[in-house]
Amino acid sequence: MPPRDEPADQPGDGQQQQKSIAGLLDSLALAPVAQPSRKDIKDKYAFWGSQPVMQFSDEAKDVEDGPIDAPKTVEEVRKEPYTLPSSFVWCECNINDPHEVQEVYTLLHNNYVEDDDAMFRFNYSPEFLQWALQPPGYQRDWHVGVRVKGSNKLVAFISGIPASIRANGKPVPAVEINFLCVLKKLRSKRLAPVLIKEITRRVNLRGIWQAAYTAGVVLPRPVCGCRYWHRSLNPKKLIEVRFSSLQPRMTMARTIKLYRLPSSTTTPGLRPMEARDTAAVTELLNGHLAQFKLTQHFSEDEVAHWFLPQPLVVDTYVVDSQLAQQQQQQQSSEAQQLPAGAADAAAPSSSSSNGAGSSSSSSSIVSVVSFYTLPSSVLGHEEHNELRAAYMFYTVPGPTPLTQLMQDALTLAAGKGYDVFNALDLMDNASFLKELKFGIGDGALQYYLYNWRMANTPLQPKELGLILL
Amino acid sequence: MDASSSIVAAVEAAEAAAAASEEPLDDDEEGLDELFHAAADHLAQLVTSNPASVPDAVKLKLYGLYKQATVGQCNTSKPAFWDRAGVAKWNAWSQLGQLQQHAAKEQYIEALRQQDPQWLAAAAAAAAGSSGAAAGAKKGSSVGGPVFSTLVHSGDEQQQQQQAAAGGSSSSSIHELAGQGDLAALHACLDSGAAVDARDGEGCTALHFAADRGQSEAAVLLLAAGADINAQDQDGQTPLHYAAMCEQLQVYELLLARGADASIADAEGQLPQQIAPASWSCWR
Repeated sequence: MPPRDEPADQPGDGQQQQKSIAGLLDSLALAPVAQPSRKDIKDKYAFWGSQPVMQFSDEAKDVEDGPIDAPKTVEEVRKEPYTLPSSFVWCECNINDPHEVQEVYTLLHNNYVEDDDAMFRFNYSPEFLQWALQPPGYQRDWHVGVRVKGSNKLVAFISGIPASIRANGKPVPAVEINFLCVLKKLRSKRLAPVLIKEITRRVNLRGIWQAAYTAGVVLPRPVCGCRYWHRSLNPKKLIEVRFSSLQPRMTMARTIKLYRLPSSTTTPGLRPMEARDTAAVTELLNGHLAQFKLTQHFSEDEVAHWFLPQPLVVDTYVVDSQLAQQQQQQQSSEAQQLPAGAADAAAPSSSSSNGAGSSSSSSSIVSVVSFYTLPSSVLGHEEHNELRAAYMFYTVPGPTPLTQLMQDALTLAAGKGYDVFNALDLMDNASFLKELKFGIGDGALQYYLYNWRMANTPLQPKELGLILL
Repeated sequence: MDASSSIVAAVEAAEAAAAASEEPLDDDEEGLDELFHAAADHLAQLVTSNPASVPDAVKLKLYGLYKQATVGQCNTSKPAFWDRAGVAKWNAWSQLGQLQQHAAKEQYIEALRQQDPQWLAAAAAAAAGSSGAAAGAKKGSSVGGPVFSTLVHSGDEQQQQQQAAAGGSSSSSIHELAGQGDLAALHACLDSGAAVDARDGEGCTALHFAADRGQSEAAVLLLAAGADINAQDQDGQTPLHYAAMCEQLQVYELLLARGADASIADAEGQLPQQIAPASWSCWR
């Protein structure tokens, strides 16, 4: 059944029956996420079959890069919002408003993505949501909510943020769609397709016709399938909350020793990114990402937004070769047991000479490593209620060996009290995952493009340079 | 139809029980199937405990839907006219024609819910009590967001779980038994002549495992059996080191009370109290 413009809420008998069955399934506590009954899956495929997305039937060799729909103008876009079931209304969520961001937080906190066994649920913090939803050029009407008439309770949400995607080298102005969430009790109302169509309409109204999004499920048709890997930082807690397990013949003590990290980082010149590094980081990042077939291009404003460190939201470190030099000089001067004054005198002179160099665009920033913070609620555990996870974000090794840079990232994350460090197997990550004791996860992540056909897909994860939060 | 209704009930109950274990479940239909079988079980209970509680017409309707859901379209010939119950049941089934099995399950659940609105709460309670893994939602069934991933258990462990499931605890070493705190099996193991200070590949004794997992009763048992309280693993660590590193305060105190030597340093020169959590400082 292809989706209709009007959401199905005045059904015939058959539909009513199906709805009440879906309601039954939902009301069983064991169905936290909409049960993928055959009908759901058929509906999902019917829905995506009707959308401008690549289909499984597309032959890879015939595919050329470009939009799927015939080009449209903004004037042709439907002006009025899609119709919701009669008891609901659309709203825009003002993420800057402490009360409204709390509403979105609460909706996600109670209803967003869980693991298979409903032991963990993502718990994006309000600060994280403000960061994730308000990059430069964000549109408030792309923070789409659904409220119940009368009670005004927020029951569904979907968001889009602007992003300059590069697909096979071609710039594709797009949005990234994320945080699609419907109250558990309303999963049978089929709100998700309406939310997707409404965000598409609002994005189209601003002259943007393409989108990137991710999902755990395979839909028509992934441009790339990735897998999560996990590096234990606090193995004892991970075992206690059953994120990982302890083999009967393995001791906890040995496990703790296995995952122990050094107390300090090893790369000379590694320091937190500062505002003055923005131009250099932008150049490094775009230069590095250009090698990937599907990636994102960042403006300086976007780099400042996405990468300047914010506690418990995002951490970015740079390798500053000038600082490294200073550190080395200091070390060698200490080694030679020169008077302390000599090292002090040497440092400013070297920094001033390098300072002159940096104005001619050769910056002293050579590497970047970043991770963001996404805790999860631990559901129903006596002792622990939160799992603190760091997720690998964009990283540019430059002349620093990637494994060493990531080892330092792990060390920093462990020092900040994170329990686990997660990474996808995209970009060059496969080169360090095993060596740095990441274990493979049970979660796969599929990447999709909306209204964009991409030649030579699906991509290998190592060809993918795009990270959605 | 009094006689026939009890036959219907008996057949229904027997079939429900038999069918529940027979059919391999399609992943996609897991949720529906689970509910369907719960409904069938419930009806069997209902009619067995109080046959009058479900009208015959409803029983027949449910019978027909049950056959349709589990077998498909009616594939038997009509019973002879003197078999009144048989004819009634056959009619209930055959009149459903080509109704899809999936739809029959849905209608079955709905019909039972109308008959007994309370049953759903009972089913939910029962389901909550059983293991959540099989019934849980599929990973990432939502679109437009990330996926929650956890570490895959290593093959090693799955193998061991299979082993344990197949062969019971006989294959468990004294180390595993100490770690699991299985006192009876540990007793039996020692009685059968196992060496109390047997070393595993890393030089650990069973007492190391008891300390590692916080099994203080197992530790008491091992000490009573003459375990070396200061045994050092290949890294020079004693059970006291293990208790400290694994934050097992109870075993830590027990070992100290039983005279463990807190002055033994491991290969890195660390004393047990140096690797204990900072929050234990008041206990040192």
